[in-house]
Amino acid sequence: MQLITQQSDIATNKTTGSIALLLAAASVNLISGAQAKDAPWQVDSSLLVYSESDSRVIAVEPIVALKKDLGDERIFSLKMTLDSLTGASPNGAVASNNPQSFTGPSGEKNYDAGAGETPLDDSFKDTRAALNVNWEQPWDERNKISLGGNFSKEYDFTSLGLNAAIARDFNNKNTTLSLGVGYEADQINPVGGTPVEFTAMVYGEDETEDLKQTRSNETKDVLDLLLGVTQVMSRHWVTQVNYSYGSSSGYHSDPYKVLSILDNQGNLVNHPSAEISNWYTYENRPDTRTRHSIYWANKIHLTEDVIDFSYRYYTDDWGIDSHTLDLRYRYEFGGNMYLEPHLRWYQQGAADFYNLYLSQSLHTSGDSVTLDYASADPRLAELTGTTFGLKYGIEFSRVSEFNIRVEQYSQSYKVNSSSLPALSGLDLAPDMTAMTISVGYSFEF
Amino acid sequence: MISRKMFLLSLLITSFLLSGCSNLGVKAWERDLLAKKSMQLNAYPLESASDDHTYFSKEASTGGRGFGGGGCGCN
Repeated sequence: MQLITQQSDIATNKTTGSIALLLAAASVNLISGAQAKDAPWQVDSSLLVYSESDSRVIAVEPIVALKKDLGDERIFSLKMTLDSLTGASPNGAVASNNPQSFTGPSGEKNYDAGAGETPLDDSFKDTRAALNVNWEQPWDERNKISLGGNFSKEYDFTSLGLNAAIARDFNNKNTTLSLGVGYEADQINPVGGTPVEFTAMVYGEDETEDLKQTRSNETKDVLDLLLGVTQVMSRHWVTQVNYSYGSSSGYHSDPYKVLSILDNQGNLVNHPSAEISNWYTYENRPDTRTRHSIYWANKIHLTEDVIDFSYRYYTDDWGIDSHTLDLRYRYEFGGNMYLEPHLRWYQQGAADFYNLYLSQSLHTSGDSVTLDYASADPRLAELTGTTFGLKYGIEFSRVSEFNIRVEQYSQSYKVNSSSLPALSGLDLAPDMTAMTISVGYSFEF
Repeated sequence: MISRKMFLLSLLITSFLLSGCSNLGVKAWERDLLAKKSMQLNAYPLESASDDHTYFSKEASTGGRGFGGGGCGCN
């Protein structure tokens, strides 16, 4: 869009004479003619492998995206994603000096944690398939609209979404204002049914099918709004500020996660009901969530190299605040090759209802949990995440490139121990480290 | 309270950039560097979508650059 603007400005500058005018007219005709008749498909593909330490999650994600300009900058794009997940995830219970047993979501397949081990639910293997389509076109000289749809399916989750955005140029296309809205409807069908929040997990020998209280399918609706400004600051620097608002309502709990209920010494307790031994309660999250974020991104061109720097502040009504700093330095070293080190630093506060575990005396009465909400999901804890990465790329042309990148991501948690005697010496929230390798290839045909 | 302040702050930034920055920017013929792939704000959309998905699955925050990437059952 910027290059076409350059040509039309030359064409309208009367002092450059008729030759420039003729050349410009000819090239515009040539370009629009070629685009209308046989514009190429641009293909972008990538394969990502993500692997966590300690036999946790492994994910393999191939993506293919196709894009074509159907003439007059009317652009159609399509993206297909496959995401295959295996491995184990913390189920929210804390480690104990005694071995523990948990029931899998369908009731038959149990899983265990040894003494001192963080309980990991290894029963999930899931494949997600997602499709995105998008249509973008100019509305008039200064405005551009886009419409998109997305569909995603995995074994226990289905999602359908629509989004629309408008972008308007000001100040000779140096400033662009964007407004976007998105709506998504999710359906959650947990394996084994949705456990009723704050009921007890049934496990092992005590298991009878009747004891797990479940509900039918759950839903969640999400509305997102985005307001953004992109500003060219100079020949070398472009910046963007986005404000995002999100509001979701419906089922937010994780149907596979529990919290341990402990006595004042830190030992697991028996459920008051005679049929269940160790008392683990299914978690409970609020039915609504409202989110805000401000995101500031920059691209700065040095003599040859490019710096990419962004910052995001996020806050929501679950009490979570976070800061994200992202820095990349693209070092161009000739032959159209580049090397790009990457650093990301992330820090979040805990959700109001986050607890490492619950106390029988403080948080329960009889066989009921007395809190409004509670979750021990490490993703809602106070944590710091650090990413170090390196990317190598070779550009064959402006539309064709091969790249490969390696990244290491590690999370550490602020609260990871307890002063309770039975928990002393145990790491209740061990650091998580993951490696990512991804390969990308883009071309035209 | 914090969120209303943030919304008003972004409106302020937006109106400041729209009105006060009419002398910022470049002429049409100075867009050579800005046109390069490496200078696009989202030059590698597949990479940023994959990364956003990973971080969305492992952290409590979402959003920033844009949306419409599709949901997942991960959070």
